[in-house]
Amino acid sequence: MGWFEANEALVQLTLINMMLAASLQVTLNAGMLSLAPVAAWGVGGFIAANLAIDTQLALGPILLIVAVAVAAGAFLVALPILRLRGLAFAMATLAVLLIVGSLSVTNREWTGGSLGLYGIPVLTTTGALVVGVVAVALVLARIERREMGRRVEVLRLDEAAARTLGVAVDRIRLALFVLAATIAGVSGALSALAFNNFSSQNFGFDRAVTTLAMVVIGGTRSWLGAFLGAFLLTFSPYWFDQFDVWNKVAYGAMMIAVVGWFPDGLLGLLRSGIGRLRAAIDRGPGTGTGATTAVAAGAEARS
Amino acid sequence: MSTAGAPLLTVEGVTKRFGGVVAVDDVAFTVEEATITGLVGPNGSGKTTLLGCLSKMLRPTAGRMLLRGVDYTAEPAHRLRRLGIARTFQNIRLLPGLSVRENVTLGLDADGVGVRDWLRSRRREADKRAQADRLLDELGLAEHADRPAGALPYGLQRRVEIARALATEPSLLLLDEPVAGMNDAEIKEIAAGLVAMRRRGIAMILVEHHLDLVMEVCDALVVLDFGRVIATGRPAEVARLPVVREAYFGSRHQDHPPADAPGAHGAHRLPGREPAPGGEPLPEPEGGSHGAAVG
Repeated sequence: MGWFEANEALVQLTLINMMLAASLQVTLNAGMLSLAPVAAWGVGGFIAANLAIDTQLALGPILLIVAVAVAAGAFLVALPILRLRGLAFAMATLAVLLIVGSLSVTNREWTGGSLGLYGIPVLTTTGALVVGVVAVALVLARIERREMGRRVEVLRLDEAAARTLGVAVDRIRLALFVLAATIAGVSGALSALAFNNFSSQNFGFDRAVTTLAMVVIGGTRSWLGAFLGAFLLTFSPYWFDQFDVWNKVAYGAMMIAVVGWFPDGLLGLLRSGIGRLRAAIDRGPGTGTGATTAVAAGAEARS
Repeated sequence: MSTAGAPLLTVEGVTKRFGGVVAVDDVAFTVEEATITGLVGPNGSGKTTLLGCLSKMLRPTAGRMLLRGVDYTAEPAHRLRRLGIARTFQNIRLLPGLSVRENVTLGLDADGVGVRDWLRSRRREADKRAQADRLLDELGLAEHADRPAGALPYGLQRRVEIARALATEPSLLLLDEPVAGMNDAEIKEIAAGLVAMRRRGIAMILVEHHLDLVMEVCDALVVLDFGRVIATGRPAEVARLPVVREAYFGSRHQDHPPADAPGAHGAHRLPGREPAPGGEPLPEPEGGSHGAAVG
């Protein structure tokens, strides 16, 4: 029994959280603070759990059904709420989360009520989770780069300018909203099929806040930031244990530090550090004004 | 698609109401190919609102807008790029964190979000980079291509915004106060740029308070006051019209509090301005009758 066997559940949870965090990041990066993926995570989990209990379907087909169902649901939800912007939009997605949470408690035979479902066949393997995480990274990396990356950037910063430049703002917002829900739904399905049980407790407001914290701490501007944040915050509660009763305080202090001083998250900090270092090497000592060269280096790295 | 002989832009009875306020009232004029039309008037006369309607940032309450005879009033704003209409903004709207080149490349990105476009983006990227560099070179921005747009001085940022609009290859470019806050040297450069774009066949609508520039480069003027067109025609003629002089410093404007007065910024310029000795300051494009006709 090596470290991996002893910690497999923690590794799996980390991979699941990476996908969920990425799903929040992909909408946040386009200027949409959406908690709806957390609801999609729950719906995906319940669909997968019921399919695994009632049918003999393998993991692949179950994930496919979940992806299609969640995408269709997200499309319908998007029609009314994508008209909203800013805080109103965020509140609408919170409402979606609360509605789904409440429905999952009341529909007992389908969700097991407040206790949740137990004895779900375990179909998820760590390998399947790694494949999922890699697939998410590939898709999101593709979106972040080149023309799609520029479109998303202008969409986030200035919708009016985006429209005059021919960016189909509404279509892109819809596509990203549905994509986020699909990623989250698959992540939820993998979670339900990994840990034998699944309940509405798993995707309440707490989960949404924790996941949002992962994205903000890691960096909202890239899928890599979401992955970094998910990794740190899934592991860190164990690291923070050394602070004993003060662990929540240490945890909160870290969040305040990141939000206050590094608005682009730890990834932004890393990138500007690397950019500064590179600029210093390129130009020799004494030249280069930190901030601008770092931005330039970041811009280069993106193109 | 286009109707032969139709003007580049036809504006028919365009009206924009905000609640009970009529910001743009039954405006009609035309713009010919490869001409510069100045849209002038005191502050609050509806110029920027009209520009918003023409670029579909705002939906007109009534009226029609036609490009080469084709009605585009119902098109969504993002479709206008494909039709050949581009605009710049009063407050510069670049992406400050992206490089100058990337900002211009944004103008080159086609509006498709199809999966196939997306998968092929790598190959197209090199072409776009070359195209963006060519544009930057033309506009004298080549040396700044790799700098973040936000780090450039104001005048250069304006030029980058114009380069980005040009990258969409418009046949009609809407410019909202392109020289606001610029010094005389920068204004001269922009003026030369506008004339060069006209030579390349691009028509422009210029909303501008700087009347020296307007009188220098425009082929036609449309004067707005309280949302209505009060005069159209060649700049030198329009400037002499009593109704225009009254709009700029007439009695009813004197009642206005000073805060409302920036329109008066132009008032001391316009009436004193006579056509430059030796006729028009700039060679007119051939064809003569580009003065707008009011319906």
